[in-house]
Amino acid sequence: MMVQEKAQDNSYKRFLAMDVGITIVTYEGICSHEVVVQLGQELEHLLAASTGVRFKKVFGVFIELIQNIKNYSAETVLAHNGTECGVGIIRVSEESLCYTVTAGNCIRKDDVERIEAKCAAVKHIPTAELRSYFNDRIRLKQESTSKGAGVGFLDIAIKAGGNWEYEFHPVDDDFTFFTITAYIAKSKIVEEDAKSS
Amino acid sequence: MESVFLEKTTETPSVRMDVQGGFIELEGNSYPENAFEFYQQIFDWIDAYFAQGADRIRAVFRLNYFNTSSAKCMLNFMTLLQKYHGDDKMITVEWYYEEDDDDMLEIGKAFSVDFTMPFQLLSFVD
Repeated sequence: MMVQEKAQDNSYKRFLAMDVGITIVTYEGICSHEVVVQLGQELEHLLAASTGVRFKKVFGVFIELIQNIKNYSAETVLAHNGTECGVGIIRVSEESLCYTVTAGNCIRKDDVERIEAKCAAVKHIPTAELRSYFNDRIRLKQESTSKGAGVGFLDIAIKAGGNWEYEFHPVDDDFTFFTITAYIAKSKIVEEDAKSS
Repeated sequence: MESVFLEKTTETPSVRMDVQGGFIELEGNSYPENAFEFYQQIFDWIDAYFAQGADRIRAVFRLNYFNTSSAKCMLNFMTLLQKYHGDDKMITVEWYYEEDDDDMLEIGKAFSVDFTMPFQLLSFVD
């Protein structure tokens, strides 16, 4: 399903105009499994040496978000191997105290309410309780619409220490552009400070 | 019944399923395109291993990173091992986490609380 091109173009422009520091990786297009793996490898190469164990959080959020685009974007194309893959945009960037991972893709207008409710529910959970929610949720039976474990937003919230946000921007009568931004502190101390402020 | 070794890839761990040694060991990253499919072949091997009369297994997890679909599979993995523990098989789980990797530690901790089979949390320095 292709989204009306001009409106879509504006969504990407707005996405790229967000001030999130120095860009490490930006990718726009089909998020096939091969793209997920390739970009993951490059990210690992670019970041692993400098950030140690904190890198795993950036990497984890990146993989979760790009696999979300692959599985759930309303805009899809056929990959070379015949599988239908989602299209979207993802960026990893760096500021002085944190890494930022932002992802955006189109969703159907009919799904906005459901996804917004899901995000709001996770946002509402106190940071210290996110893990126990994750553990409870993962033990539940999978939702029939989910290709994954149904705990992606919780996982992102945990890795970002609660520092994440989401937005919805209407594209046209049928589609809305959905973005998630997660901020991963460069050190545990910075993360604790962010929590207490 | 044969031992099986799956080579490590960028997005799947190496998996050593050893009949003679009585162990199964996973090492690496896990974010396959279809995690449920990837882990099913391991679960099938475990079922076959016990079906042919084995009485014990040591399960070693040395994972660097896994995505949420794989986390769900890890839970299914533990549930399967716990089932054999309940059938009086001798099960031991070793869950490794890199020092300071609180995500890997915490998910292991939750498993160790949930399941009654012997479960060790072991840290390593990369």
